[in-house]
Amino acid sequence: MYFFRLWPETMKIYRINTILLHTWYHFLHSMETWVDLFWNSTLQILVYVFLARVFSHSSTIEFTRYLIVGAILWNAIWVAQYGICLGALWEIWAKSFSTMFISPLTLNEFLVGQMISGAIKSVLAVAMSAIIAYYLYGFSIFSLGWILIPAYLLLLIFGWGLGMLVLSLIFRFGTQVQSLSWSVVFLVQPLGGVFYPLSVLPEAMRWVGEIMPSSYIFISIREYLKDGRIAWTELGIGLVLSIAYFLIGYLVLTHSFRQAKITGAFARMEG
Amino acid sequence: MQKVLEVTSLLKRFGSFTAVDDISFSVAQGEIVGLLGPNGAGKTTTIQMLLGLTTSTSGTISYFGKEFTRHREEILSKINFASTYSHIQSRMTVRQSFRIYAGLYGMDASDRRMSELLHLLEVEDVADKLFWHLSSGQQTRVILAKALLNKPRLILMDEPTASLDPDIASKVRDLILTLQKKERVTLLITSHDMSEVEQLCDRVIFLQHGKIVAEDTPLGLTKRIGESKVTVTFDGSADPVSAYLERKAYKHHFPRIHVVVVEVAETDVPKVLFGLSNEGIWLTNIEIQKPNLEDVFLSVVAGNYENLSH
Repeated sequence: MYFFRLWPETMKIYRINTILLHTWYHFLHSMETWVDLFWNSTLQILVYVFLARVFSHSSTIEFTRYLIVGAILWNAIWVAQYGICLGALWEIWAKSFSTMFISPLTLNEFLVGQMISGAIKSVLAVAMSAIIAYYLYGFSIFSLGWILIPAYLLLLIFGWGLGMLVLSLIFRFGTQVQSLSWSVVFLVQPLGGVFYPLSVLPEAMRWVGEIMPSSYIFISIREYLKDGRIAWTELGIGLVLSIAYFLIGYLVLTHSFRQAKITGAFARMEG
Repeated sequence: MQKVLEVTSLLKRFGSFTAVDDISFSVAQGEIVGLLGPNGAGKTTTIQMLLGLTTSTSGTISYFGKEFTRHREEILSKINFASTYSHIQSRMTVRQSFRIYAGLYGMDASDRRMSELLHLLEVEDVADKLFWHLSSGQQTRVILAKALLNKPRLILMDEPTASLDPDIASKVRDLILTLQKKERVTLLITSHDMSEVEQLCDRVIFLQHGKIVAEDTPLGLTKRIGESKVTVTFDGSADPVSAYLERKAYKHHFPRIHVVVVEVAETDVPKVLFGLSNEGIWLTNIEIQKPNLEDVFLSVVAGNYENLSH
């Protein structure tokens, strides 16, 4: 019963706005965030654009476009997940996380602020990758049409869900598991159907991809690129799984937050 | 007097270890209360529970007559905390951090309030510097200023003057007393500086092994220790001195060859001095040290606190 009890606090818009302002101020002084967002995204899209150029001589045009669209939209999952975890870790490293939570700030307000700032950052990373792909390969992300919007939103929701799951582990085990913040999401890239269908995976590993919403969302994107058809079933499964990841992530995180206060781990987290 | 904070039967267990063992106390409006005890006594865990960073196993915490867990948002907007060990975001300027905290507390015009506070703590020149570029003394003062930002009715302070130069520490203590007098701010302070506690606190609560072992005014507690230390420097042999003190059964020791320290009740000090003098001993120097809070602290650490409790 306790596990499923929802957080009984109301959120205040002005405190969510303050978290957004906090993220902006931090962004201004954090070279690491600039590098993560723009440098890493640029390098990644360059690799896939050049690979696409090589394959364009021997493969179908669809395959090369799958590679590029996967590389561009991958940023939505990655930045959303990373935003939630790093938003908390920057405060823990600065020994200011507990200082924030002795103000009236609630966990929900903190999370919503990090989700919105993560979404904004992911738009920046996706836009930059899309511009590079357009100028170096001639692929326009807008060729996806309106499916781009629901697909993008579902990938964001999946990323937020993953972010909350990883953050719950940090609350539970402390900063010794912080490396999961920038490593767990990379499980999605090879196994979550970002660039290729799950049929490519060995039989024993396929189930991992089958429980990831990204597999179905990217199927629907590839179907649309191939013949302009909307794969409603896959999009629907992607929606259900994304929401499931989000809800499970939220419930596990709020449970972990409460437990960390009971065990004293929350107060000890800053060392 | 109105109670600002009331703690009732507060208990915190971590597995089989009891960190805070069924403590109850209250803090009245305008009081400065010291929460003292050796390392591991339960002070930090108590403060963490009072701030909502750690959940108690049982017991209740009420601020301003309202139960903390039920009125968290309202209560946290009226209290604040300063510690040498907690920081604000190091990658932001002090001005930016103050804007953030003002936003979290729902305040407007934070820049003017920030300027007043930084001026008060003599760090107005750091407003546009990154927090991690400040010296530890400047950081402590900025944290203190942050703790005053929302004009709190109660401030919890953990080692408020640790890492400060003596002149700034003295100014901070003066500031604390000024705040108490002018704005009737209530303070709950932990400190290892017993002279600071004696200077600041109206009342002291001593914790040991998670329990409250003594609670009184600093003067009341030192009176319970009872014994003064009389350090007498004398001319000639120590034999007649030792013979007299042993005959009268006064507790004493000789730290140096011509110096004796006698531990006696404050009322017996004249008797000791006249007695030694009447024995024909030439006393060249006399120092009388009354018991202080440090003696109380040492008694608590040594486990001799039966005489400290009511």
